[in-house]
Amino acid sequence: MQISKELLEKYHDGMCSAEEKKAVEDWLFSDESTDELALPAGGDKLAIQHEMWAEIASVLPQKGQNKIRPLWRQVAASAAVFVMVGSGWYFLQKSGSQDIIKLNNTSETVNKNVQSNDFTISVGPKSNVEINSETGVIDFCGAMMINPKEDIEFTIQGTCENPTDNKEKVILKKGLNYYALNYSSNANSNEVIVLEEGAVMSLPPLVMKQLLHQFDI
Amino acid sequence: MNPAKRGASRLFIAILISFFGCNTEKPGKQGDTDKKYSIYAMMKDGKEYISQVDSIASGTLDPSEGAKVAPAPLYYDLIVRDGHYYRVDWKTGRFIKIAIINNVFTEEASLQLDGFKNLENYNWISADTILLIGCDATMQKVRFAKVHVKEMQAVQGSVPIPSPFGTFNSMSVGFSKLENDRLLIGYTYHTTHALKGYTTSDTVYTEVLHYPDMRSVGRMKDIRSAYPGGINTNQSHDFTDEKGDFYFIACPGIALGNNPDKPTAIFRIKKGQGQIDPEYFFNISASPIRNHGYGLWYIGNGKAIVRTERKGLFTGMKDHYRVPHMDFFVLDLASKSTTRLNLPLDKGTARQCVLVENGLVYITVNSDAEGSYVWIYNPKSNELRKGLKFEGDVDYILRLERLN
Repeated sequence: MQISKELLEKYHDGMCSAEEKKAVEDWLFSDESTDELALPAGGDKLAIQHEMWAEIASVLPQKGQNKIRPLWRQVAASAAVFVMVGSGWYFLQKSGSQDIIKLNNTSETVNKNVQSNDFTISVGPKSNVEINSETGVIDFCGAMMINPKEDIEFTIQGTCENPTDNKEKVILKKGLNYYALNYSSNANSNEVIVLEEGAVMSLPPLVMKQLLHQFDI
Repeated sequence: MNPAKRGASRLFIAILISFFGCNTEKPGKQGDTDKKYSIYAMMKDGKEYISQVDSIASGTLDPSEGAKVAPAPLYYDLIVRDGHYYRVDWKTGRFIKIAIINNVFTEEASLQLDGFKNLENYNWISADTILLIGCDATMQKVRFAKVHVKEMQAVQGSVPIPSPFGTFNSMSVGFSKLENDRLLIGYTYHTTHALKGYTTSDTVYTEVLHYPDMRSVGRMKDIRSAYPGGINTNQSHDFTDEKGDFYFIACPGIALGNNPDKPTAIFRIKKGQGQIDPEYFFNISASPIRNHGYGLWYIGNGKAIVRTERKGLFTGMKDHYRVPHMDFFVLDLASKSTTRLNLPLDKGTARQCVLVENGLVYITVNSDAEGSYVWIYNPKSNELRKGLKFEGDVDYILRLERLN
């Protein structure tokens, strides 16, 4: 079975069939395969590898100076960039006592799911979100699900277009699933919709079905 | 690369992937098919309940004493008949039969459908046989399943309606009407943009099929409105009158067709004609209502009720469902006159909220300001009065139906 970006994403999301799971794990731990991870075409290979490592190092905990890396680590870094570029990125940025959660999902097919101390989050395909608990603002473009672990008030603003015109203040209640999406209709081409799970059924059938499928409601 | 290094790199990838990683009406407590009515409510805490009661003409009801619906939300999906509830689970493609047993929402039986995931329309073609019409998982092909609900056995197949073409990438079925050996199916096409909205074709399509072999014998196109009917598990959009004439509403408003430059309108297919009547067109948007509408119910004697939105009271889909802005109008189908019922503004984008029985019309109305009631309308006297009152933290009364 071909190991692809989509298959790795499915594996991460726990959506693989038994056969797919076995194929990924065989690939991860097998020493027999001859396939290699491809670096981006063109450019200087070593420079690209160093650039990739620098990007990875910027989002990983610092562990001292960036020294000459063993080959396995360079390959791992390349693979990490392959995964990160291919399926988006996610990191927590400490800011005082608050967390900033940034998640960018460039996948065209699967969601990205993240557990933090304060939320469970699922970000739809081609969507991104930044949650700033300090300012109480969630910026997003696309579609997302958020389930808070405590009652909390947020201003949710759609950043696809004119964020200041497209925001909604909501109180998110502990343990409930909320969905936010940027939505365009003839009546309003730039709308931010935030609703509890039960209200999803009130959306136009096509939009409702997209959300049901995308977030497995 | 040596094996140890390869293994380590793959393990590292795995780690990185994970990193991304009055009198009080008591709800029925048994499998109460002897109860007369089913009421489906959502409370302010988001929980959903079904109550089975004997009267809706008076008294009070706290829906939270009913059977809790699980998995919720299901109010969009249900078909109610003879004390049972039916639905198609879009995840599994199972047709499921449900009953309330000892106040518990209980699955009784199920039938695996073949390639049928999205139920769009149903039609009882006999006392125990339901014709389901829907689409595959990707809304590209129309399927049918004729299910005998006592035997839970089905005849299934595809419906020769063309898949989305050109710029269209999805479709909807909005009504079906079986008359002798002719089955008429109304449908339309959409262009969807991943969670950023969609548009609907400016054409009402109607396929004429030979029944029961489902062979296409004709196709009609009508550009006077868009999105014929709607998903009828969710709300009624059509009816057949005493003469056998069939009426359906086309709904281009933002809550269905999202092609609001087209008018909401009512079409007619006269008995035995097998085609949309070109001479009949009741333009709701151009009537004194001056708004788009969605739900349509027949109340007898050439009169129907349409549930319409009121522009200016909502801003878009983000508040369309939660702001009270819906009106009920009585329509005279022959004279095309409209009369507003003096009810509080209702909320909820789509609801099964009108029931006709013995010449009286029972209408559930959710009003944040004036409470939630079953209202009783007498078409002969034009009298409106309150019936059953809903108590507790009710948010929406989503369905009202006869159980038997």
